[in-house]
Amino acid sequence: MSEFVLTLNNVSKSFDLKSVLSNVSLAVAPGCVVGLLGKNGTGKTTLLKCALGLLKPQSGRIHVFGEPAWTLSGEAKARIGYVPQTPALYPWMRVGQIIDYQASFYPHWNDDLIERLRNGWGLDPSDKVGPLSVGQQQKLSILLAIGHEPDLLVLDEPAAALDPEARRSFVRTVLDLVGRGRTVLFSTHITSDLERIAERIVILERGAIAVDEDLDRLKERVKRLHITARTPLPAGFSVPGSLRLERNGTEALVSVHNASPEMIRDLESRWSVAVDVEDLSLEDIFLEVTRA
Amino acid sequence: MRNRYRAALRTYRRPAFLGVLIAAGGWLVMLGLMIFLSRLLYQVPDAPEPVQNQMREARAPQVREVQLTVVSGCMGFYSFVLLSLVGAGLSIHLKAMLGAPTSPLVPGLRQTHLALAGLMIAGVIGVLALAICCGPGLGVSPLAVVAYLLAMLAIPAFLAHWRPETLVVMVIVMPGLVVTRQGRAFIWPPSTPVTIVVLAVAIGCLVSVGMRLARFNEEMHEFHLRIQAGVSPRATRVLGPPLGDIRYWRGVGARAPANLLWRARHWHAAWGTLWLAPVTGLCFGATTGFVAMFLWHFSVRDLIGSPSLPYLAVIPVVGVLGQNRPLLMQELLRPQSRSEHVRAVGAALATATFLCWVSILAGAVLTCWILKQEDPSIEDLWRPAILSLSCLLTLFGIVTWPYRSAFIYVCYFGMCGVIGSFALVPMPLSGHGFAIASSALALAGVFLIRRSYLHWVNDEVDWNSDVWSLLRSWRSRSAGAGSPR
Amino acid sequence: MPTEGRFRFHVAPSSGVPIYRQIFDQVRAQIATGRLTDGDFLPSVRQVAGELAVNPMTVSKAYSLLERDGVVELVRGHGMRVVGRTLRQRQSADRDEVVRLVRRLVKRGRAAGLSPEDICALVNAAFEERHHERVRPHTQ
Repeated sequence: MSEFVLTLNNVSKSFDLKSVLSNVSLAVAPGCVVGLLGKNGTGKTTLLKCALGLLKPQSGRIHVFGEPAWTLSGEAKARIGYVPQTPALYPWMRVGQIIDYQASFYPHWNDDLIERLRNGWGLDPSDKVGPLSVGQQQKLSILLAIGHEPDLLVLDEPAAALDPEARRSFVRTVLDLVGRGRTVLFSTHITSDLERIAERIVILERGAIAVDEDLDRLKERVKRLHITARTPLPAGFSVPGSLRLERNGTEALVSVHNASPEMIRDLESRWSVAVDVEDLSLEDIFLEVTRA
Repeated sequence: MRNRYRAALRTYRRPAFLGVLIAAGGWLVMLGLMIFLSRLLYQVPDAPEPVQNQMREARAPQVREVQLTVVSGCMGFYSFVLLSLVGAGLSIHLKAMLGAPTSPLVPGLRQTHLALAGLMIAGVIGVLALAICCGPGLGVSPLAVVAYLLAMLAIPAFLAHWRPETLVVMVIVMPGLVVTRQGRAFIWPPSTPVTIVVLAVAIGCLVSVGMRLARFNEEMHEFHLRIQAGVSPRATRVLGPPLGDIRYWRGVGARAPANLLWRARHWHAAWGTLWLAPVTGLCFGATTGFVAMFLWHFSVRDLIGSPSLPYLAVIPVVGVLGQNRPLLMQELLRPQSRSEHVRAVGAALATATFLCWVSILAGAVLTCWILKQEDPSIEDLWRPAILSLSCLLTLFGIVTWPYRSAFIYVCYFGMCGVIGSFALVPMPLSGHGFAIASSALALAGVFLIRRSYLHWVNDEVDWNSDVWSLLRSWRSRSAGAGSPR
Repeated sequence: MPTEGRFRFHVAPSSGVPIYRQIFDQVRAQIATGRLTDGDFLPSVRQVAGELAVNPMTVSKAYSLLERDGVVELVRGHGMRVVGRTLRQRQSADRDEVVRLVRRLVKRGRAAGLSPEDICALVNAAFEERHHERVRPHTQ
């Protein structure tokens, strides 16, 4: 237990009889970057909140840095950074004030880093937080979470409202943190960011984990096959491990989750077809897996 | 190294608490005014000096009695207002600070805020208790004073934490109760068991709120009853009215109604049923009547002649304050001209306010009639009603003014001061004084309403601005106009 | 001398090919075409990751694979260096590359419905063209 930064064991959570998470188990090793994907309403935010002890699951155990999540000690909290989906900011405060306020609670705060990022992102310390645009508020939320250089960084849709330049800058900041051995867990819709940063992908569907795998392995494993034959394909044509199969006369389009050279050669020889393998981006993989 | 306590203390510098400070200041001013006026009542007319001394001596005990009544009454009431504002304000602020999604994860945040709040409570209670005990020699036991003061702070804090809506009712009921305790006899040594009970209740409330806040998390159902916790518009809907009149929506359909009154109703339906206004009004009116007649032993004439009726004009206006204004901007994109829309919104708010005010009057009169079987005559009623209506116009003008925030508190307490000064001197409801006062207030009201209407229609309104930014923009505009190009 | 990462490699994170594989293939291709020669140092993991905005683990995965295949070697204190290989080794690597391309050509040809003779004719035509291209500049 203690070698993992975060562990969830058979966690189930429901709100008023509506089950949001069912039997979710996850273990995150230190220094790992895990990306959480899922359609809206599949429980990503709930999962992250349960992981941090903000929500209490009906069943299951959650441990962060070896401690139960619901009763985290001050030392453990000082090593965690959290960027919520909706910014947790106070509209009447000023940017400088809210940064100082957050910083005063942490034993270690990197003023230079925050100063540099704040200037780079164009946040004036004397601006009031209320009138800031959504993107700027999100940037501020991110700043507040990374100032104390946490060992575990949890981000819930951190880049949703950022423009592409800010998003690239944010990706670089996270990569910088990652490079020093920190653990990052984040949920996002923007698969291109995940493809840059994440090592491991977890796909949530209907409250349960559908995929929990290394990103590279996933890309090697899930492929779309374009099949062409000389004669119309027989009725019994099937491909083992297919997620989706569409056919039209002499052609077929099959998405598989277990592609390998042997499997393709086997397919070619068994059905006398030509198989063209299409590599899928993470976005395509997500769509194929969740549509199945 | 930043100090966490200093940072937590700095979070109290927010516009909402400006109102508390102004309230404290305002009531202090009123206290002074009342003491001054009481001395004024017992002015001795010009006479040779030995006669004056004689008269002064003769009146001394009465003067002292009145002064003490005033002082203890005001201190009781003053303490109540201040403490309930402090208690509710602390509770609301703590809920906002500890209720952010990231707050449970910041190490030591809860402990710091709770410690600071505890210190503030101790300080405020300590100072007030000291002032009362060492004050005009009322001779009460310090324990009783502390117990009552603590209760006046703890109960609003408790209510604000669990059910912020009840604060509104409490503002009406508790002053009545507090003042009646003092109305009976100005020295009120409560018996020891009662003191202990009150102390226990107060400590119980504080401890329960403290314990909840120490573990404040999303699982607690009062977590979502925060007031202005975040920047999402959802969070600010707590004090707003419930979702609209569903039946009305079904009837109206997609076409924009043509008539102003219909549009006003249509607009208001999105913000809550129109019935809330008269019902609230009736409750307020009935409660005031009841308290006045039953607990204060006013006669009908006293009730009508008292300053209560004009003062109550404030209440429907406070209801308007709760309207959620930022969405007005989106509504401006609907297919109707801006002035039509502003007129419709204004008509809706004005209708609600007026209905509320009429029901307050009706409630008070009905209570009189039910309790004492005597109905006030029209002559008795029309003057206070007119004065109250004039106050209503002025207050409505102030509250619809776009830049309202801190300004409204100043005006509110200013008006309270003016009206409260009538407490000792009977209201000049006859002759010129009345005519001048009413017409001045009415004209001011009409002027303010017209100005704010023009402002809404013609100018771009900055939703997040307050008086200070307005002043700054005026200054910069005048500076800009003066600079050479 | 190590050059900067972004001049050396380009990655498309959203392509279906894993990023480590893209870098791996590019190193091999550059060695095959002569852009990277014996003794050249690859840019550091940190540099590449920082400039391309990708996870450093991905880059180091690519480098480890290259090291495992004997294409590069780790020099303490300097980074990854392209392994010097004999002419024969280089030729065999080049030949593997060509074999792969031929296999792909055959597959696509078959899919297009060409017979083996058609494909050979196309290959010969390509040789002719190349030969003429070589010759033409001299005649100008």
